[in-house]
Amino acid sequence: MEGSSYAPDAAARRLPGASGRRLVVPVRLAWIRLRAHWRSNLLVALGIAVGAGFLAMTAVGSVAVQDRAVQRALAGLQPSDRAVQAVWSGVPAQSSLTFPQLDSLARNALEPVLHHPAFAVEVFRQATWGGAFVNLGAVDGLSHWLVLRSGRMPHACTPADCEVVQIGGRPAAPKLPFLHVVGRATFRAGAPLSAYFAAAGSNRPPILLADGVSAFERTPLPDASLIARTYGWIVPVAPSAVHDWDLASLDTRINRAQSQLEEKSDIFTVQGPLETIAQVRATSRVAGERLLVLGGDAAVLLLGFAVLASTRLRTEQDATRRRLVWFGARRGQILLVTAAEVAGITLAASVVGWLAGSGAGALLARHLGSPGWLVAEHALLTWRALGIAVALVALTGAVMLAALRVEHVSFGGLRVTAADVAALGALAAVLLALARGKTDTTSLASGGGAGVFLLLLPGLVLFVLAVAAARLLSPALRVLERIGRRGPPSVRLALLSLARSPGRVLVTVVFFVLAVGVALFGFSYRATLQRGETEQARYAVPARYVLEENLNKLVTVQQAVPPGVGAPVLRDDGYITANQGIDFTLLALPAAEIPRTDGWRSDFSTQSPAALAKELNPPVTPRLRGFDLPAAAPRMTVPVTVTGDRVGIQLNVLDRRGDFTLLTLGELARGTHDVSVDVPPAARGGRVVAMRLSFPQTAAFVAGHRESGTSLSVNDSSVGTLRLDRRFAGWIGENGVHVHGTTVRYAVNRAADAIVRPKEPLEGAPVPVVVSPDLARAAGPGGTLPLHVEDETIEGQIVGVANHFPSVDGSLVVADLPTWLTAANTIEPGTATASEIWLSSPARPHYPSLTVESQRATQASLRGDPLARGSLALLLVAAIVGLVLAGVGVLLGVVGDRRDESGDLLDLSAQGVTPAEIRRHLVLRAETVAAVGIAGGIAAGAVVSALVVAVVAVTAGAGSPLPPLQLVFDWPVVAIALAGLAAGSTAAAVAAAGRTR
Amino acid sequence: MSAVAATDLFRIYPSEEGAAAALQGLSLEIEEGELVVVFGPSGSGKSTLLRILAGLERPSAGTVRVFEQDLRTLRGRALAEYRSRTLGYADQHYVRALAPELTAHDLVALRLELLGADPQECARTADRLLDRVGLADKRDARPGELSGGQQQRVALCAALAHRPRLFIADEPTGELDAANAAQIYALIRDLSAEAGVTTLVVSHDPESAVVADRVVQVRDGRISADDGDAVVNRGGWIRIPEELLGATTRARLEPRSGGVFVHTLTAAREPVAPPADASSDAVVAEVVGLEKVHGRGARATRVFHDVSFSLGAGRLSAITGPSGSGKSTLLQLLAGLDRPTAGQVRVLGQDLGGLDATQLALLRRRSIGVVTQGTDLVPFLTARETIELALELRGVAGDAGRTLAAVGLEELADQRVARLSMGERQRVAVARALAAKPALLLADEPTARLDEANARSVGALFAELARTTGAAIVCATHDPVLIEHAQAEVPLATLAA
Repeated sequence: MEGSSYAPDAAARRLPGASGRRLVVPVRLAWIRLRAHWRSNLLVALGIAVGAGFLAMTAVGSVAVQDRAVQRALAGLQPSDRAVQAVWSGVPAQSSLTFPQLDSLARNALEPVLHHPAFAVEVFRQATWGGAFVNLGAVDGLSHWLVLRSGRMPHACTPADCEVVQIGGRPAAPKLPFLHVVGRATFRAGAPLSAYFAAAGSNRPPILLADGVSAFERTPLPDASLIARTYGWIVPVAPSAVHDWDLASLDTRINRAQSQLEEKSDIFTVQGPLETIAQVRATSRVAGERLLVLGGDAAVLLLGFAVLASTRLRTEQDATRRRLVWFGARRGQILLVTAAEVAGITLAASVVGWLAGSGAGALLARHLGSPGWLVAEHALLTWRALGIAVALVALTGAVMLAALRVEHVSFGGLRVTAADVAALGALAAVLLALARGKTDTTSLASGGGAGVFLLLLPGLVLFVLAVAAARLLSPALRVLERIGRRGPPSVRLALLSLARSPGRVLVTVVFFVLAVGVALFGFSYRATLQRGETEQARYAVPARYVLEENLNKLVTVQQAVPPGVGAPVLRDDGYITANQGIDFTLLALPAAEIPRTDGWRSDFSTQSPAALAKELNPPVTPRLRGFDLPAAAPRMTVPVTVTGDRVGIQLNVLDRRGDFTLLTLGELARGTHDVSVDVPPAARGGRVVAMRLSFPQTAAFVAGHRESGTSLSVNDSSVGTLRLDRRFAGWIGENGVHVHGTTVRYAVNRAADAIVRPKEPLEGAPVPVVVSPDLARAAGPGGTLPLHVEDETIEGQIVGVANHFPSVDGSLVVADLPTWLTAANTIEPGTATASEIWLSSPARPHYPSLTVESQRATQASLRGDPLARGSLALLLVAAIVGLVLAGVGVLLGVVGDRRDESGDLLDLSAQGVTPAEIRRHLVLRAETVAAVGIAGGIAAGAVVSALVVAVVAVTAGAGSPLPPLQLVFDWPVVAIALAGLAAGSTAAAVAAAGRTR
Repeated sequence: MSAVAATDLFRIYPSEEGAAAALQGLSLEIEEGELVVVFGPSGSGKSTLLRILAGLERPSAGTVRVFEQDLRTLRGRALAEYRSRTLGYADQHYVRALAPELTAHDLVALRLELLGADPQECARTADRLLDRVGLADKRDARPGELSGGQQQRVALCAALAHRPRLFIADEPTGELDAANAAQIYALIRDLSAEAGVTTLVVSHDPESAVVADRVVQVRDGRISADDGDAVVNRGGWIRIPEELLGATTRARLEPRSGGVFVHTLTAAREPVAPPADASSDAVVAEVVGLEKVHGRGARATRVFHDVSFSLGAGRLSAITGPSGSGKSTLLQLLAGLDRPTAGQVRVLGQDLGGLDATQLALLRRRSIGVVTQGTDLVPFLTARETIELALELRGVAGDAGRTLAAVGLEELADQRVARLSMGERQRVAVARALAAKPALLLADEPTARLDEANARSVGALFAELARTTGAAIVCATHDPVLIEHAQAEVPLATLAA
């Protein structure tokens, strides 16, 4: 043996700086190890990167979705509302501030709001200038806001020569030497000027506009300083220029501008789309909060993968730990080596994952129409996001470290482990949270922990299910081993290895349960929301088209739509007084239409639509009695003999469209009359269903005056007898009228009219109705319920109960239309008519006077909603990430098995086991693990989906779902996805096992 | 002052198959600076004793003190201090002890660096030690680039770099040839003496006794002999070596003046006719011009070249040679588990070069038995299942229980392999090969972890099997006991020279 003698003494001395060096050495060792084992760490890093990337993408996607919601809401505003503007109205002579001062103040105050300069507007409303009655004003940059129709655009205004352009009205030319009309124009669509000039119309004075407010202000308009005018400074809000992250500060800046201007002049007002901003913020908050479910999923996947990865690193790490123990390393140093390695892998993978996820999120944002990188920047480069990212990296690392350090957790028998206790705690937390009730748009918008609940819900539920799966794994594997005992050696060996060492595959199976559970949740929740969109559209518009009266045009649906087209429907509001009063929506439609009503779902009622229709359908179609008018006669004559006081008489005609027309016979005095009256075309061929007797208007007026001049009550009744022809024989009277044959004795006053009408066959019988459960609970004995609609009280007979009925939100009463109309119009003829027409024809109807709701358009609108698109896209990504990570988990498992068991496999090979048999052994084991995991994952996904759908009452577009969401499993997609996963896993296992000798 | 004082140590391992006692009242005292070698068969409790002394395990009962420190009560920082400063430990699997990513220099310096020593001092000490063990030129080599003997020297340097007061080594030469083993023993002696280290070496190798100040024997978890004297343990337990008892199953004790006389009682046995000799001149396996190179390009290492020999039926042959000479590689080539770089391997008349991996596996299944070193048996199978699986694979009828009994493992037949000691696993591997009765049996260091008695037994079994079945049995070994039983020796170093 050569060399110097061995006399080590370095360890004996305690040198300065030793503590620091003791810490540096493990870190250096970790670095060397990371470099040496980068290949084996690559899969682990890949999984972490995918998890982190998904989180980043969720964060970016969430902001993108909210951003698009903001922009869509702003784009939906009228141009004049989509602007921030300062307005000053007054008489300059009464103001201490000149226009230049006002102009400077306003511009300075508004500029910081959107960082865009304002343009000014000035208007003198409806004044006479040079003999012309006009709206005179000026706008900065006039040509931007007008479309020239004739002549030319005015040149920039100067005090000496101010050209103007006319908008609307008859040609106007003020006789002022400096003012010239040079052209005609219209406002450009999107010009934010309607608040100042309104729309020009034939009955409105024309608008004359000059280009440039400051110059216009200096024109020598006569007595201008004494005339009131309005100045406006406008900053248009381009929807694409305002982002979700700007909203809070925009709100603040608008308020600040208001304060700043009010301080100088209390005439100033600052207007902006504050209310819209508040609403948008609330909606986007709902959308963002709901996506926290995905955040929770992503975190569960990430942390689950961290645990899985740890188990795969564990063999190598254990060997290192053993070596370091033999080398005398302290516990802290060993921990530091592991921690540094874990930190290195986690940090690198997380950074890569966050970058990739940001890129994917930016692409998603672009797909939704938002500026991708800008959204990514605001989603991730905030202190909050960075803090969360750092916390997640730390948490992932900590979980990996803990999983590497803790002893194996084994489940079995009645022994209660820490994981069992934690699972019970998680279960209790979930149950407590569920006891809080549904998480809806209100609770999400208001915060209050609903978001945190959503964030934690999947994680807690999946954790509980994972522990349950771990508990079941061992017996399940034992059963499989028993089943496989008669199989070939490779099969038996595979199953025996699983049954004997369930702990080895426990984490893999549990991770599979998590990953497949998340994937299934992604698919099923997405399918649920998509189905929800269809159902919401069909529920909201329960036929292909629904025609409604346009309140701006005042044309009834009966007037606009020919008889026989579509199904007439009456929609009205009503209430009951029982149970402290409940408001309801009345929907009366022909009973036969109920089974054909779109949007019905079997969970709405225990009875089928056909059964409900049968219950509502009367034995004979009710129709008001009376006498018919000839279809061709333009006039009708009614012989009347009056004995007594003057009385007003009208006939109530039910026309063939179902509408009512009043034929006024006039106020008849004592004597015999052959009253002839014009019958409008609509009423021809109709049926006279009632006669209305009223106190004469003149008498009522006089009585009113007499009454007001004294303190006495004035006798204002009109009493007498009418003799009518035989057409009125057998009719009955109400409100002070008695009918004998064709003689009517009447006594009417100012308080109420009297009605003479035929007796109806169903008179007095309650109307069969289907009601919501809350109304049903308020019903009296025998199931009758007084329903108050339009000042009438109709007795309803409850024949069915339905939680929901298409197109109705809240408590409902559904009745057969003819039955309801007959009942309502019997009490007060003419009060009830259909208000909607439901059309099932495929072609879009053309009724310009009506509002047309299209089911397809509604559905397209729901589907086009960026919130919905974003949410659905992210759910799809979640599902795919779950599958990919499950596949990576399988690969990791097989590669790890091959590495950890290379000795065992070599021994098997030495005993003559062929490479194909070894591959089969490895693949079969991987497939068994995958199959058990997939089965558990399907159960977990189903449970999580059912819980989320049951608890989170929010649509894809972040609205309240109507009808409530119903869980949908898109089994074909799920089957294809899982088959793909199984095939991919097998391929990965075969590829990994294929390198076995 | 005693460096080590262990009294009535018990160590019980609970398991699903019942509690197993590794130590059953072991007492041992070692003086400071003494070099003690502990012998004992596999499963006797040697490694457990070392793990307790290393502070890696605690005794179930009894006391153990090292330099007056009670190891039962050492916790946390004190235990870490003990392990890092007082103790030096060399494991039997030096490959596992050496981090594969570090160089020899880094490995030796690491121990000091972990103590926070000055980096330059660490480097100097590492250089000095590597120089001292003749590995100065290998300072930048990683363990994978060193031979077994070189790796074990590095492991020794790493264990002694910090100048521990107690150095313990578990089978430090278990995987080395005789020459390398002798070098290691000498090194242990010299380095211990130079640093004044108290040393405890656990070994099977009788050669290790050469460097010992004292030799103790461990059997059944107790010290059975100390420096040649039988030790009377608590309760009067004394162990009489098997070789003195022969086939005795009972004995009668008779007090005599100055001692006790043991009368052995031997039951009469039916004479058993010796099985017919099946040896012949037929060649079972043959290698011609064999060459094997590991790695490629600049990192290529030629293991051997131009090796030719044949293996006859009914013979036990020993492939001998120093560590790193390619004994294991040669067995792998004969088994078709690896491919030669050049040359030909023929087994039962078949050229292995012409067979694909499946055909090779089927040939092994049909005709070749392989005895691995036991560490790689399928861990979740029991000893019995391991043999039954092999029999089933080969389609051979056999009695796993009887075969296990032949290697002294009948009581452990239903223990999972993972719970057996290394030596016991090796015996399972031997039993499996015996049960299958292959035409060619290849055994890699089958006695490396066995004590002499067990090694003799295995040698006899192999020789018997070869003679009675006509199998060609080939052992890669450096164990003289086994070589003694062999009818032929293949000296690899000479062949490859």
